[in-house]
Amino acid sequence: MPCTEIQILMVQATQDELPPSEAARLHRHLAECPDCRETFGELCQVWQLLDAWRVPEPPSHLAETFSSRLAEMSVRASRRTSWVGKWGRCANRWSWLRLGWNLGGMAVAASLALGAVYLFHDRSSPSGATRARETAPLMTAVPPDYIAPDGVWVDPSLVSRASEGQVHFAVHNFSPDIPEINTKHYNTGSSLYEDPF
Amino acid sequence: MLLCQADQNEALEELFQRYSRPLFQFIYRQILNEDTAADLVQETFLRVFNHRKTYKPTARFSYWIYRIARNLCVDEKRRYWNRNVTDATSMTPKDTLPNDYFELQASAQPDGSQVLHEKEMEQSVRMAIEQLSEEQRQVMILNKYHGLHYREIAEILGISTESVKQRAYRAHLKLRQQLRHLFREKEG
Repeated sequence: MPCTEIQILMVQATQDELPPSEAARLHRHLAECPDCRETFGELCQVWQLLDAWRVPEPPSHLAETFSSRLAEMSVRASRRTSWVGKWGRCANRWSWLRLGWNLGGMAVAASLALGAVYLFHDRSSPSGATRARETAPLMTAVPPDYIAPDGVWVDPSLVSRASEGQVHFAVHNFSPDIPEINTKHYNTGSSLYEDPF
Repeated sequence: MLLCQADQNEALEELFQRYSRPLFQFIYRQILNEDTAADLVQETFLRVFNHRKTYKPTARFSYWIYRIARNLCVDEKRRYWNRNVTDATSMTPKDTLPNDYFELQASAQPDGSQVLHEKEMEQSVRMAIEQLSEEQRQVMILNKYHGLHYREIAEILGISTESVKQRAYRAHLKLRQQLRHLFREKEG
């Protein structure tokens, strides 16, 4: 057997890893080869020299420190499964910074929503005449030939709004002499007409 | 370990009592720092606690815990080198020597020469082991200082027994090269 192959067996022999069948082969070779005998002697010495490296003992407080860390971890683990723990984690998540970001986000979202509502409302709201027509049925208590206090005839279809126990009419363009649209409000007074609401 | 799986902390403390010393030595021989080794021992057991449900009784507990410790050592070394700008000279001799080595050298008395010689020998062995590659060192430490067989080391490191054998062989030849001066001295 070549010496290089024997070296592997030598290392295994020093480390007590050599099976008995291989050990016999090694011993036969060593008996015949003085170089390998020398090498084997050196390898054994290396193995013994390694004992010179001593390591310190673990610190005396190690077990104690570990016990306290373990207790702390167990408490944390039990909290994680309880409602209190869940709430605690939630509260933790809502740190001030996140709260600020969330509030800011909500403010922006609310502004956008309000803007959208405003635009939608403006576009979908009917014109003055349409609105008057829509509200006219509410003014059934106003007679068609009602003469307002200043003598102007009021067309009930032009009644624009009603509120607070009194009926208000808005008369648009009541005088043909005035080119621009005018609006005049009349108060019928609650004694004359009952609030339709 | 089965008791530990059943959330009994006392069982884990019992395991700690049994394994903390060999684990400390195993970690220390790779990290070469007592405080870090102590931290990593605790960290190893906390990982055992956190992953106790995933432990399968088919594997030996000692293999499992050594594997956790070995992974932590690898991570710690990686962190160390990243922190120290990956400069090989950043680990000063003072860091790698026993705390009392320099004091001993400074106050070397005639009757302390034997102690000094032993310290020097220890230092040489330590440095020779440091010269090994990571893989070779792990095999040597587990084999020599923890008395584990190739088959067991293979289980811990997740490699074949043949690879362990090869690593042990190369490591041994390298150590012979590094430590030759010591046994020549001894013979002389």
